[in-house]
Amino acid sequence: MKAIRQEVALLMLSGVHKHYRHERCDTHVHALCDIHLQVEAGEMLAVCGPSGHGKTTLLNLVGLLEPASEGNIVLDGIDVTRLGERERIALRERLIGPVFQSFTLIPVMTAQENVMLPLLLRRRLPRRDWLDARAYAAELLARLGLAAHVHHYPARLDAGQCQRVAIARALMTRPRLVVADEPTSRLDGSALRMVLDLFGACQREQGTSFVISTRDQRQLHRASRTLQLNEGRIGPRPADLPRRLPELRA
Amino acid sequence: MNPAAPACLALRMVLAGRARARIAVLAVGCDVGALAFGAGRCPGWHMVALMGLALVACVVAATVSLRVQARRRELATLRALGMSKCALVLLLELEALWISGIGTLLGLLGSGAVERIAAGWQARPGDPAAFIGTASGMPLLASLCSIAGVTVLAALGPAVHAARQDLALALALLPAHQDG
Repeated sequence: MKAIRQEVALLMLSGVHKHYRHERCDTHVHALCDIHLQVEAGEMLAVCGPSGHGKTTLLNLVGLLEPASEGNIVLDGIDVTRLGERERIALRERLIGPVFQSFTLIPVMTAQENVMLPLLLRRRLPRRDWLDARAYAAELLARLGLAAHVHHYPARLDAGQCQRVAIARALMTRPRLVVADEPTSRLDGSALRMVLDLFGACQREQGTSFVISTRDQRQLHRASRTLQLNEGRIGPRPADLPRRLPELRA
Repeated sequence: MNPAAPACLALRMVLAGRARARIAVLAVGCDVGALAFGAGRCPGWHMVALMGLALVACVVAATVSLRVQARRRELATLRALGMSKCALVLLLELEALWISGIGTLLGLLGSGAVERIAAGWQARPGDPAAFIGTASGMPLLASLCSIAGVTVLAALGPAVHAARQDLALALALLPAHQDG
């Protein structure tokens, strides 16, 4: 179906619902109810809330991994709810850098190759672009404190290092929107600071927007806004209103 | 070479695979080796050859299924990062072809070695190496094509199933045993 472009914020959700049907007991689970939110370019939205209250589902919808049951999701002016699967995949590749909660790396590829994977999968790179991509991947890894691990396989990295490789992989394509599901859950103080600094640099230099689910207070303090999810609904506070915390930023 | 090209990635995955891939390579190797050694020596060999091909199909299908099951998150990650469904099917087909290809090569080399030893023991120095199908008049290439065709067909079901899996569900899985 042909995409309809609209001049709006980078990401806009209006009246989004998501429900799943349990095949065995024939019941419906309402994972998300009536979600309205808007993310501007260069903004970091932190989604927080108790476990099992819809954070990952929301990020899956925003990351175009699954469709919404009801409502509209507009990404970069394109109503994605009307797109076919192929167009959704193309849009995801073009705009979104995902960091999955499980941060799965490909075990037979080195850290650098894993970081380059989104580019390697998409097209045949000319030699010059290939060299540039290698250099950028190495730079991202260095900025995340993994300069010494560029040629290491995931089996030789600990969980925190694997998580940082997954973060570098999400940033490799210079996406407009990074959708990250608990991207700092395995990071200690210095690694967390490096990741947050890199996120901040991407926001400033490339205008990258971030939608991040987190329970980490340090990350919440760096966010432009926070969104509290409670049993699939936004609340208890009106979190979609801008709530800037400049005084708490590092 | 692009390290994420399906052929390259498939070979690396097979070589890095532990128990299942190696057992599958050995099983295909023994099967093909036995077929090659027995080619034309026993009556009703064509039936035996068909059963051998069926065994290759079973080994490949079971191996690819188990490898897909063990690597659901990994395959879902590849899809989520931009690998198309067709490319994923191709990747798994190439993995299967590498498994049966390496197995076939080992089987043929093994049967050739056994043939030579047996010829030496039986003092028949002129006995040609009994590669698969040569005794029945079927050329080696046709036999290899049969094995490749059976492999592709056997791997197709699990590969398509893997390509169609729900991404969000697969990515939410608990860490899988990275065997294969």
